[in-house]
Amino acid sequence: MPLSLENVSYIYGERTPFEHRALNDLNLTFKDGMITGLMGHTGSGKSTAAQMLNGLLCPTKGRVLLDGCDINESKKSRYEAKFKVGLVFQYPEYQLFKESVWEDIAYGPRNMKLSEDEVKKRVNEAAEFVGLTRQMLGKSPFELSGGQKRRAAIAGIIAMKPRFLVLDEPAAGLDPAGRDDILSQICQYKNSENSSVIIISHSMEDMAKYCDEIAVMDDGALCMYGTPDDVFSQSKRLKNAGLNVPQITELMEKLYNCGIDVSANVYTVEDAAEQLIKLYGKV
Amino acid sequence: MDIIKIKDLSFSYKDGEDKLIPVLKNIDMSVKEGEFVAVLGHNGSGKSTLAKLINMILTEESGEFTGELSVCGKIITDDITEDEIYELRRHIGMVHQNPDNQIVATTVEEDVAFGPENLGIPREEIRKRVDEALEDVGMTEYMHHAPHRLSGGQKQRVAIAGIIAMQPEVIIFDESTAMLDPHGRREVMKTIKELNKLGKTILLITHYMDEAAEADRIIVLNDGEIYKEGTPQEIFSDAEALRRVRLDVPQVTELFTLLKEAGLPIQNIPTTTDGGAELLKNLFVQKGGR
Repeated sequence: MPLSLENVSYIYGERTPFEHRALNDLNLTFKDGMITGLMGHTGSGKSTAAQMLNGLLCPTKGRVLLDGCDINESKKSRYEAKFKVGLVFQYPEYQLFKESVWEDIAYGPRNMKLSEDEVKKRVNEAAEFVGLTRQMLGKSPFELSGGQKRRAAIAGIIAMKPRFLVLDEPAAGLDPAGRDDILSQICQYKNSENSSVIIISHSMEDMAKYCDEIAVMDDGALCMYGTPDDVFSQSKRLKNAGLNVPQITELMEKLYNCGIDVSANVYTVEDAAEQLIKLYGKV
Repeated sequence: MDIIKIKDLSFSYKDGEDKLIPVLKNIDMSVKEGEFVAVLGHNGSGKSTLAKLINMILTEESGEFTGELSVCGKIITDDITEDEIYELRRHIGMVHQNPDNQIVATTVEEDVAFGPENLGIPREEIRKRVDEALEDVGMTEYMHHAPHRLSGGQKQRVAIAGIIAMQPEVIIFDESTAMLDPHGRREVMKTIKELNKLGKTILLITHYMDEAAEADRIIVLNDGEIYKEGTPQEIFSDAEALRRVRLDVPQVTELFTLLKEAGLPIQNIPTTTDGGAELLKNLFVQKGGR
């Protein structure tokens, strides 16, 4: 069942001089079993929208529907939403707080009141997913490197086995190999647990590579939605929304504008190479 | 002239129990006045430590240091006085990763004036420097705005203006675009290139290969040692070597490597979008003309 935001508006500091409308009648549905990318410039409302998804923020107007039910309907439904929708904040490594990595990952499942055997099982599984070794689990979170801390924080959410995993900039500040590691581990998790993933990111290249669908926000509302193909083929609209296309798409656009017979509708290096090689054979 | 010169420099952090953790090992490097140098390296490779040593944020208390470091012609020795450090820091500015951690005042112009005020510069001179610095980063119209309400890219440009107002010769950017959206990244990269044109020496630490491609020279660190050094073309021509140390090449470079492997007549592999487009255009025109 999908997770959707229905006519959601949210105002920070309502009726104060600092009143700010962060979401403006937002309608957005995250489909089951997909990796959906959520993009938008700083201040477009992405993070506010993400915090709506598990009831951390409650809409000023509108509804958040999970399995067709409003998650803010009762105290109980709002509580349950926290486990069904797992939210990983930006730079989550700053939120580690327990004395060992193992304890930190176990914090979520314990709050779900699972049996100690089940907690153990889940912690070990989650750690394996994100590539943390048994030895690291015994350490203090503060002894880990930046990339390892990030993994530990993500494992803490994965261990709750949420149906929707929402990650705000999971790869920010990591080196290229670290980015690829974390993003492909998230894909693996999605496939093996049959869950759904929502990734917020500023990297057009990563979005093109990993997402099934992409939603673009601007000014607190949805401004584009579709497959990476649909979205990245509209570079003008993306740029107007303060974003960009992947570098490779930019190159193909330049060629297209010079009158070379290529499609600018390309967003991976492999596709671009295939097109150019074919064309070169023909010229 | 070498504005930064480092000879056989090693640095180890002290952990709580007097154990030493080596971070940089036998670094030899130099940066010429007016040069634009990018530093690449995996997480934990020692990039930020290197920057903090150059800017003298790390001192004897933070760890153990051997080798020679000279900045703006002055050799840094153990007996350097606090005053000398302050004096030298005036020549080297640093812009950090998180724009929100670098804002100190309630309006943009006051924020930019913070640095020069602390240097004890006369009022009229500060006014002039603030105006010029804001002009240089294209933020003049936001002079009276509250910095916390600006976008990420704008905040970073204000932080850069605050550095420029102290008139340093060298500016170090420590992953200054990591938290920005694509528009903000473009703004900041454009500002960096313009500052370099105005004669500032730039040291850019980054995880974005396309940003490093804009530099005159790239230094690649791996586990605290210099792994490679060269022009963007030289560095990005060996993708395998970079991937071995957790790095990558720009998409354009990856594309041309594939094209070359497929037998297209390509000699030099470009590293920027503009360079790549130009090369392909010529290639197709040539072939079409024959």
